[in-house]
Amino acid sequence: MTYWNTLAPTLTTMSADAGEYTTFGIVATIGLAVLVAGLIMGALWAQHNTIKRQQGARYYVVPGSSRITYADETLVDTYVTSVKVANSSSDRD
Amino acid sequence: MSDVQIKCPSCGAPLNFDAPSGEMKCDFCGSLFTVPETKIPASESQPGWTEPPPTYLDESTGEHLATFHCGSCGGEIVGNPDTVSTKCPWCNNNFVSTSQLTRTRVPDRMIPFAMTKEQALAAFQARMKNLWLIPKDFRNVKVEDIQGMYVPYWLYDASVAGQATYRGERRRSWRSGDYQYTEHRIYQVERECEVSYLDVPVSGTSKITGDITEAIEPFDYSKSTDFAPGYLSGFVTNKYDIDSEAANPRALTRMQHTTSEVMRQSVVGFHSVQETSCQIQPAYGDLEYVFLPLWLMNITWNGQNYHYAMNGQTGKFVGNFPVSWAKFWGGFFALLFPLAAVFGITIFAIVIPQMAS
Repeated sequence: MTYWNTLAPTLTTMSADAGEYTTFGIVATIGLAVLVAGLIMGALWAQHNTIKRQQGARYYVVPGSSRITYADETLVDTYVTSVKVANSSSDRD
Repeated sequence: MSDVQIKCPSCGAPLNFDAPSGEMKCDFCGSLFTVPETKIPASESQPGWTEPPPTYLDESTGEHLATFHCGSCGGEIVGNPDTVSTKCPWCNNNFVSTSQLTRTRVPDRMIPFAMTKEQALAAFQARMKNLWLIPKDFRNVKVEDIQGMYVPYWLYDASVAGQATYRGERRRSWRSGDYQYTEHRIYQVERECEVSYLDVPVSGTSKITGDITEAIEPFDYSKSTDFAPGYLSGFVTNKYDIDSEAANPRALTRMQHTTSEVMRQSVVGFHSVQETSCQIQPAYGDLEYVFLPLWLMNITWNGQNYHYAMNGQTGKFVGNFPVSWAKFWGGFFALLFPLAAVFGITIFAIVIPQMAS
């Protein structure tokens, strides 16, 4: 009886964990498959329309004419942020 | 009423009256000026591109061209006088010559066609072959409406000075005890640059969308030549209906974009960079009016118009092909199940056991 009293909560926890993992696995599998299939089909669809405006005028830059004439970097602010790092042993408690 | 265009003293773009502020506002650079500030003495020259004085066909060669007006869409094209009827390249309706042009502006230069109609059709077929989602019926469609056109463009030269500021951040992280610390060092980054542009094209017609006239770029201007009426033989062209003043904001926008890219690419060594301001000051150069060659195709299929264009010099082909929904969803599910099997095996056999341990 004492043995069962010790084992029962452990089995219950394991069963709950397994259920969570299964749900996670199914959602992740379907989500990833939908995402990748959507990206591939989207890329195929995008090939159907090649009518797009030019963003800039890079074709028309006179070779050798593009040059940086001034560059400066000034430190204006410094601050420190901190985040409490979860202790791995305490996570399981 | 005067139709004098007041220009922005900062960038040269047109100024318009801004009712909320009661001032003259530049839609390009956003500068505001009081109305008295924008009064330009008659003797003072305005900043802007240098355009050679226009010449006209009948004045330079004594020849005339025919103009065609489409009663359906209002399109107007120019062709040889011996052409008596043609199809409207914009809406595909038939229409006939209605008058002889007496003052057709001659382009400063042009690029003759180097690609034939057969090459344009072959490019269309080749493009279609590589598309998996095209409806089966569309593959059998016949291209009956294909027209070689000289499209009027304005070419802008300018040297552009750019100034931009950025907010750059460098980060350094370390751990101490139960805490992860991150030092954020914020910089104000300034850049100035100079970029020269030659022959930035902007379409002079509203009859073809800017998407098409820009998508077929670039052209090789080194092969441009002086205008001769003979080049128009077998092709049509349309008169510009967007003048150089109306077209130049687009040229400036494109130059600004590239100038901004040049400066942004020089900002390196930061974990994140955010642009906080960017301005350009163009020093205007020459402005030219040119004819550039373009093959234009229209296909009406299932009640919808599909437009295609090919650069008549380089052969670059652009267009919008229909998508078969049956093929799309068929392909989607055909991919979904094998992908789900692969991801499922990976997740359940490798990822979850690792998480559980």
